Amino acid sequence: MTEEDEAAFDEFLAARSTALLRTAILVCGASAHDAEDLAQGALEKVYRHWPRIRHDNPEAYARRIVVNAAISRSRRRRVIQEITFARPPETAAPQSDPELKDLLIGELRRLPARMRAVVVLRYWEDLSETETAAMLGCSVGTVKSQAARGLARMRARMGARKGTSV
Amino acid sequence: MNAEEALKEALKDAMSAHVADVRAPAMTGQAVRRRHRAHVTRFRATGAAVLTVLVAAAVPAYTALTSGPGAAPPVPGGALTGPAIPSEGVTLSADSTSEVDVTSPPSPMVTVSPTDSATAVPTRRPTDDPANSAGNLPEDLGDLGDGRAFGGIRVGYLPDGLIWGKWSGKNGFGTTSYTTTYVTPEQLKSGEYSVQIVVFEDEAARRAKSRLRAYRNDPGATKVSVHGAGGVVASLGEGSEVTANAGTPTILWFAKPGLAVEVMMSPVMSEGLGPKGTERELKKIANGVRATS
Repeated sequence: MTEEDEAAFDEFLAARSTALLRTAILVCGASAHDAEDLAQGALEKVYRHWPRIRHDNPEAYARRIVVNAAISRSRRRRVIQEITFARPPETAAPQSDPELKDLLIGELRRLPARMRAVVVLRYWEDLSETETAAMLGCSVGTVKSQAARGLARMRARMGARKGTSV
Repeated sequence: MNAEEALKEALKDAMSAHVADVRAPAMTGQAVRRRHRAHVTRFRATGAAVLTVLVAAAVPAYTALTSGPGAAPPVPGGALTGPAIPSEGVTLSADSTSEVDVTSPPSPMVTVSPTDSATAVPTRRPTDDPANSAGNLPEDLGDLGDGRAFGGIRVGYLPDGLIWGKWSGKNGFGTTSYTTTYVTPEQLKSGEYSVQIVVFEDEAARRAKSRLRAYRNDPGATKVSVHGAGGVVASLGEGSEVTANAGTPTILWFAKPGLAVEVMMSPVMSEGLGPKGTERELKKIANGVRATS
């Protein structure tokens, strides 16, 4: 890579690495440390091909790598998660806003990896259905159904908690 | 606002709050480049291992073709020369101060001619992207003979027992850079290396110049002089940073204006030599390097 490439990559990191790390945390449902490892692995792939992709929306390329890597990683952990969260915990209904947020994040983590990715990309990244479909390599119809089912599942679980409403 | 919209809003707030305090570490760039360097190293080891396997396969094939009464006649300009098994052991001594005869050939071994179709070693198109060539033979610079002349330099001195690693890379350390390794005969099979030399020209040399300047200001590095040129000896981490722990012993200097040379010694070899022996050997290698272009 040329010095200009290197400098441009550093600028890209400065501008986007935090956003990518946040996406990785939400999509992966993992700890910040795990997500950091995942994000750095994805950024290494970006760096490897940087001279070729730097002028062609590198952020989308990086985000696609992060999301797909997060989905793959989550799938490997799914068995453990399903055992751990086979039944909703018998916790009291949240009484305050911070508790509600924690509860929502907990429910988000329980969604299947791909469904969670759709929810994050649609409702946190604010990507359109078309953009989300392109990111995940699926149809717009799949995005619609996954998003609807994800929200429905979360709503059902939240509704099952006494006194909880959003 | 209906229930679904309320849930979307609440979910967005929850996600934003969940990651609000998350910041990418300041050292992300260094970590990414360290991973990249590790990736290139793995690719290099894989290439060396593949080459070893192919050479191992070529020897019995050649033997079958050229031995016995019914054997096929040797192929003109046969690719395999010399005995297949190295006949000399390898000794690396921290106390070694003997001068090395740079005119003596390396230990006898199998050599493979990339131009001969009977070797079963496929030729490889040079590529600038190691990532796209995993599994192919990394012979970017072709057959280097004894491996001591490449990238505009001639390597005059190598520690006892080291031979050319039978591979070479181009632009793996920036544009334009060249590299190859020197190994013990045993390492030809394992894919490991003992000494690696990188030559930096043009753009890559400018980056090397920046690194050299930084290293020379680093208290953890040792300033040295190589034929009058200011260089540095340091232990470098995977991100090319000076480190005190478990790094790669390295000497970097400019063999001439616009042509930087970096010699790296494997930590395994360095451990056998000790710190003083390592620095002495690195200096001897450096002092034996001459620019040829």
